[in-house]
Amino acid sequence: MSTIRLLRGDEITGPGRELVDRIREREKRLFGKDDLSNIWRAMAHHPEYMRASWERSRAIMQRGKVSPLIKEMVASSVSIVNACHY
Amino acid sequence: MRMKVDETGITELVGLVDHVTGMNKVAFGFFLEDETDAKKPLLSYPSDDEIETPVREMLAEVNEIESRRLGRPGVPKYWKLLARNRHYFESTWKKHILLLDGKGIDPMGKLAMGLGVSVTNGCRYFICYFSDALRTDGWDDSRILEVLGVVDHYNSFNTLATAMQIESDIRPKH
Repeated sequence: MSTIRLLRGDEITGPGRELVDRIREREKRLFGKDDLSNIWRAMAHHPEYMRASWERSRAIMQRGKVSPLIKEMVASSVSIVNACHY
Repeated sequence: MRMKVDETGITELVGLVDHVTGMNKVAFGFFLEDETDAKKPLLSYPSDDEIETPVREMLAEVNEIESRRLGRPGVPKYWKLLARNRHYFESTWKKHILLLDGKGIDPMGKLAMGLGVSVTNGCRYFICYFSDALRTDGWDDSRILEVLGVVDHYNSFNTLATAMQIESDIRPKH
Protein backbone atom coordinates (compact mmCIF):
# COMPACT_ATOMS: atom_id res chain seq x y z
CA MET A 1 0.00 0.00 0.00
CA SER A 2 1.34 3.43 -0.88
CA THR A 3 2.48 5.81 1.85
CA ILE A 4 0.33 8.55 0.35
CA ARG A 5 -3.30 8.34 -0.72
CA LEU A 6 -3.56 8.12 -4.47
CA LEU A 7 -6.03 10.63 -5.84
CA ARG A 8 -8.78 9.39 -8.11
CA GLY A 9 -9.00 11.07 -11.50
CA ASP A 10 -12.24 12.85 -10.58
CA GLU A 11 -10.66 14.28 -7.40
CA ILE A 12 -8.04 16.18 -9.37
CA THR A 13 -9.32 19.68 -9.99
CA GLY A 14 -7.73 23.11 -10.27
CA PRO A 15 -4.32 23.68 -11.87
CA GLY A 16 -3.52 19.97 -12.36
CA ARG A 17 -6.73 19.06 -14.20
CA GLU A 18 -5.76 19.94 -17.76
CA LEU A 19 -2.37 18.27 -17.41
CA VAL A 20 -3.90 15.09 -16.00
CA ASP A 21 -6.15 14.87 -19.07
CA ARG A 22 -3.09 15.17 -21.34
CA ILE A 23 -1.19 12.54 -19.39
CA ARG A 24 -4.18 10.19 -19.48
CA GLU A 25 -4.51 10.64 -23.23
CA ARG A 26 -0.85 9.78 -23.75
CA GLU A 27 -0.99 6.77 -21.43
CA LYS A 28 -4.05 5.45 -23.25
CA ARG A 29 -2.06 5.59 -26.47
CA LEU A 30 1.07 4.00 -24.95
CA PHE A 31 -0.32 1.43 -22.54
CA GLY A 32 -3.93 1.11 -23.69
CA LYS A 33 -5.16 1.89 -20.18
CA ASP A 34 -8.01 4.23 -19.26
CA ASP A 35 -6.96 5.18 -15.72
CA LEU A 36 -4.24 7.60 -14.77
CA SER A 37 -1.08 5.74 -13.65
CA ASN A 38 -0.48 5.54 -9.92
CA ILE A 39 2.70 7.61 -10.01
CA TRP A 40 0.78 10.62 -11.40
CA ARG A 41 -2.08 10.03 -8.94
CA ALA A 42 0.49 10.41 -6.14
CA MET A 43 2.15 13.48 -7.67
CA ALA A 44 -1.20 15.16 -8.29
CA HIS A 45 -1.23 16.25 -4.62
CA HIS A 46 1.34 18.84 -5.74
CA PRO A 47 0.30 20.05 -9.21
CA GLU A 48 3.40 22.22 -9.80
CA TYR A 49 5.68 19.28 -8.99
CA MET A 50 3.62 17.03 -11.27
CA ARG A 51 3.92 19.54 -14.10
CA ALA A 52 7.69 19.96 -13.63
CA SER A 53 8.15 16.16 -13.62
CA TRP A 54 5.94 15.64 -16.66
CA GLU A 55 7.67 18.36 -18.67
CA ARG A 56 11.08 16.98 -17.76
CA SER A 57 9.97 13.48 -18.66
CA ARG A 58 8.81 14.65 -22.09
CA ALA A 59 11.98 16.71 -22.65
CA ILE A 60 14.31 13.86 -21.72
CA MET A 61 12.46 10.92 -23.25
CA GLN A 62 10.98 12.45 -26.39
CA ARG A 63 13.48 15.04 -27.59
CA GLY A 64 16.98 14.65 -28.99
CA LYS A 65 18.97 12.36 -31.29
CA VAL A 66 18.95 9.14 -29.25
CA SER A 67 16.00 6.95 -30.25
CA PRO A 68 13.07 6.57 -27.81
CA LEU A 69 13.67 2.78 -27.89
CA ILE A 70 17.25 3.14 -26.64
CA LYS A 71 16.04 5.57 -23.98
CA GLU A 72 13.42 3.06 -22.84
CA MET A 73 16.11 0.38 -22.63
CA VAL A 74 18.31 2.63 -20.49
CA ALA A 75 15.31 3.54 -18.31
CA SER A 76 14.47 -0.14 -17.78
CA SER A 77 18.10 -0.95 -16.92
CA VAL A 78 18.26 1.82 -14.32
CA SER A 79 14.98 0.64 -12.79
CA ILE A 80 16.28 -2.95 -12.59
CA VAL A 81 19.50 -1.81 -10.84
CA ASN A 82 17.40 0.17 -8.38
CA ALA A 83 15.07 -2.84 -7.88
CA CYS A 84 12.14 -0.55 -8.56
CA HIS A 85 9.06 -2.70 -9.18
CA TYR A 86 7.01 0.20 -10.42
CA MET B 1 8.45 -2.37 -20.29
CA ARG B 2 6.51 -1.11 -23.27
CA MET B 3 9.09 -1.48 -26.02
CA LYS B 4 8.70 -3.54 -29.14
CA VAL B 5 11.21 -6.09 -27.86
CA ASP B 6 10.36 -9.81 -27.70
CA GLU B 7 10.88 -12.17 -24.75
CA THR B 8 14.41 -13.07 -25.87
CA GLY B 9 15.27 -9.38 -26.14
CA ILE B 10 13.91 -8.68 -22.65
CA THR B 11 15.92 -11.59 -21.24
CA GLU B 12 18.98 -10.23 -23.01
CA LEU B 13 18.33 -6.76 -21.57
CA VAL B 14 18.01 -8.11 -18.02
CA GLY B 15 21.05 -10.34 -18.58
CA LEU B 16 23.11 -7.35 -19.64
CA VAL B 17 22.09 -5.42 -16.51
CA ASP B 18 23.05 -8.42 -14.37
CA HIS B 19 26.38 -8.77 -16.19
CA VAL B 20 27.35 -5.08 -16.10
CA THR B 21 26.37 -4.76 -12.43
CA GLY B 22 28.61 -7.70 -11.57
CA MET B 23 31.50 -6.21 -13.54
CA ASN B 24 30.93 -2.83 -11.90
CA LYS B 25 31.30 -4.39 -8.45
CA VAL B 26 34.45 -6.27 -9.39
CA ALA B 27 35.99 -3.12 -10.92
CA PHE B 28 35.41 -1.50 -7.50
CA GLY B 29 37.00 -4.51 -5.89
CA PHE B 30 40.02 -4.20 -8.16
CA PHE B 31 40.25 -0.42 -7.37
CA LEU B 32 40.19 0.24 -11.11
CA GLU B 33 39.40 3.80 -12.11
CA ASP B 34 40.18 3.94 -15.82
CA GLU B 35 42.67 2.59 -18.33
CA THR B 36 45.19 5.40 -17.79
CA ASP B 37 45.06 5.27 -14.01
CA ALA B 38 48.55 4.56 -12.65
CA LYS B 39 47.41 3.51 -9.17
CA LYS B 40 48.08 -0.05 -8.09
CA PRO B 41 45.02 -2.31 -8.30
CA LEU B 42 44.03 -4.70 -5.53
CA LEU B 43 45.76 -7.60 -7.31
CA SER B 44 48.96 -7.66 -9.33
CA TYR B 45 48.76 -8.27 -13.07
CA PRO B 46 49.66 -11.90 -13.82
CA SER B 47 52.96 -12.53 -15.54
CA ASP B 48 52.99 -14.61 -18.74
CA ASP B 49 53.94 -17.80 -16.90
CA GLU B 50 51.03 -17.30 -14.49
CA ILE B 51 48.54 -17.34 -17.37
CA GLU B 52 47.39 -20.71 -18.69
CA THR B 53 47.78 -21.28 -22.43
CA PRO B 54 44.03 -21.30 -23.27
CA VAL B 55 43.68 -17.96 -21.48
CA ARG B 56 46.63 -16.52 -23.44
CA GLU B 57 44.83 -17.51 -26.64
CA MET B 58 41.61 -15.92 -25.46
CA LEU B 59 43.46 -12.75 -24.49
CA ALA B 60 44.40 -12.39 -28.17
CA GLU B 61 40.68 -12.45 -28.96
CA VAL B 62 40.00 -9.94 -26.15
CA ASN B 63 42.67 -7.69 -27.64
CA GLU B 64 41.13 -7.84 -31.08
CA ILE B 65 37.50 -7.30 -30.01
CA GLU B 66 38.13 -4.71 -27.29
CA SER B 67 40.61 -2.72 -29.40
CA ARG B 68 37.94 -2.44 -32.07
CA ARG B 69 35.20 -1.64 -29.55
CA LEU B 70 37.16 0.99 -27.63
CA GLY B 71 39.06 2.48 -30.57
CA ARG B 72 42.50 1.96 -29.01
CA PRO B 73 44.87 -0.99 -28.93
CA GLY B 74 45.40 -3.28 -25.96
CA VAL B 75 43.68 -5.60 -23.51
CA PRO B 76 41.72 -3.59 -20.91
CA LYS B 77 43.08 -3.84 -17.37
CA TYR B 78 39.88 -5.49 -16.17
CA TRP B 79 40.47 -8.54 -18.40
CA LYS B 80 44.20 -8.65 -17.57
CA LEU B 81 43.38 -8.91 -13.87
CA LEU B 82 40.76 -11.58 -14.44
CA ALA B 83 43.18 -13.66 -16.55
CA ARG B 84 44.79 -15.09 -13.40
CA ASN B 85 41.78 -17.39 -12.96
CA ARG B 86 41.12 -19.37 -16.11
CA HIS B 87 37.54 -20.49 -15.42
CA TYR B 88 36.36 -17.15 -14.06
CA PHE B 89 37.98 -15.31 -16.97
CA GLU B 90 36.64 -17.65 -19.69
CA SER B 91 33.07 -17.70 -18.40
CA THR B 92 32.97 -13.92 -17.90
CA TRP B 93 34.46 -13.13 -21.31
CA LYS B 94 32.08 -15.55 -23.07
CA LYS B 95 29.11 -13.97 -21.30
CA HIS B 96 30.43 -10.51 -22.16
CA ILE B 97 30.67 -11.09 -25.90
CA LEU B 98 27.44 -13.07 -25.97
CA LEU B 99 25.50 -10.23 -24.37
CA LEU B 100 27.27 -7.29 -26.02
CA ASP B 101 27.96 -8.70 -29.46
CA GLY B 102 25.23 -11.31 -29.91
CA LYS B 103 22.42 -10.80 -32.37
CA GLY B 104 19.60 -9.39 -30.37
CA ILE B 105 18.63 -5.91 -29.34
CA ASP B 106 20.23 -2.82 -30.89
CA PRO B 107 24.03 -2.89 -30.22
CA MET B 108 24.07 0.87 -29.56
CA GLY B 109 21.24 0.36 -27.09
CA LYS B 110 23.33 -2.24 -25.26
CA LEU B 111 26.26 0.15 -24.89
CA ALA B 112 23.92 2.93 -23.74
CA MET B 113 22.43 0.52 -21.17
CA GLY B 114 25.92 -0.43 -20.00
CA LEU B 115 26.62 3.27 -19.51
CA GLY B 116 23.33 3.82 -17.68
CA VAL B 117 23.91 0.87 -15.35
CA SER B 118 27.51 1.91 -14.63
CA VAL B 119 26.49 5.50 -13.87
CA THR B 120 23.73 4.24 -11.56
CA ASN B 121 26.23 1.97 -9.81
CA GLY B 122 28.78 4.84 -9.69
CA CYS B 123 31.48 2.76 -11.43
CA ARG B 124 33.99 5.11 -13.04
CA TYR B 125 35.91 2.35 -14.84
CA PHE B 126 32.89 1.07 -16.77
CA ILE B 127 31.47 4.57 -17.30
CA CYS B 128 34.72 5.18 -19.22
CA TYR B 129 34.50 1.79 -20.95
CA PHE B 130 30.95 2.21 -22.27
CA SER B 131 31.26 5.90 -23.15
CA ASP B 132 34.50 5.16 -25.05
CA ALA B 133 32.71 2.36 -26.93
CA LEU B 134 29.83 4.71 -27.82
CA ARG B 135 32.27 7.41 -28.98
CA THR B 136 34.09 4.85 -31.14
CA ASP B 137 30.72 4.17 -32.77
CA GLY B 138 30.32 7.87 -33.52
CA TRP B 139 28.35 9.11 -30.53
CA ASP B 140 29.08 12.70 -29.52
CA ASP B 141 28.76 14.50 -26.19
CA SER B 142 25.17 15.53 -26.86
CA ARG B 143 24.02 11.90 -27.24
CA ILE B 144 25.91 10.80 -24.16
CA LEU B 145 24.29 13.64 -22.22
CA GLU B 146 20.88 12.44 -23.41
CA VAL B 147 21.61 9.03 -21.88
CA LEU B 148 22.71 10.71 -18.63
CA GLY B 149 19.41 12.62 -18.69
CA VAL B 150 17.49 9.33 -18.82
CA VAL B 151 19.63 7.95 -15.96
CA ASP B 152 18.90 11.08 -13.93
CA HIS B 153 15.17 11.02 -14.68
CA TYR B 154 14.68 7.33 -13.89
CA ASN B 155 16.81 7.37 -10.75
CA SER B 156 14.58 10.23 -9.69
CA PHE B 157 11.29 8.47 -10.59
CA ASN B 158 12.48 5.22 -9.02
CA THR B 159 13.21 7.09 -5.78
CA LEU B 160 9.76 8.62 -5.76
CA ALA B 161 7.99 5.32 -6.53
CA THR B 162 9.98 3.49 -3.84
CA ALA B 163 9.62 6.24 -1.22
CA MET B 164 5.86 6.36 -1.70
CA GLN B 165 5.65 2.56 -2.16
CA ILE B 166 3.52 3.05 -5.22
CA GLU B 167 2.27 -0.23 -6.61
CA SER B 168 2.69 -0.78 -10.31
CA ASP B 169 -0.55 -0.55 -12.25
CA ILE B 170 1.08 -1.11 -15.63
CA ARG B 171 0.95 -4.80 -16.49
CA PRO B 172 3.32 -6.54 -18.90
CA LYS B 173 1.78 -7.04 -22.33
CA HIS B 174 1.73 -10.84 -22.60
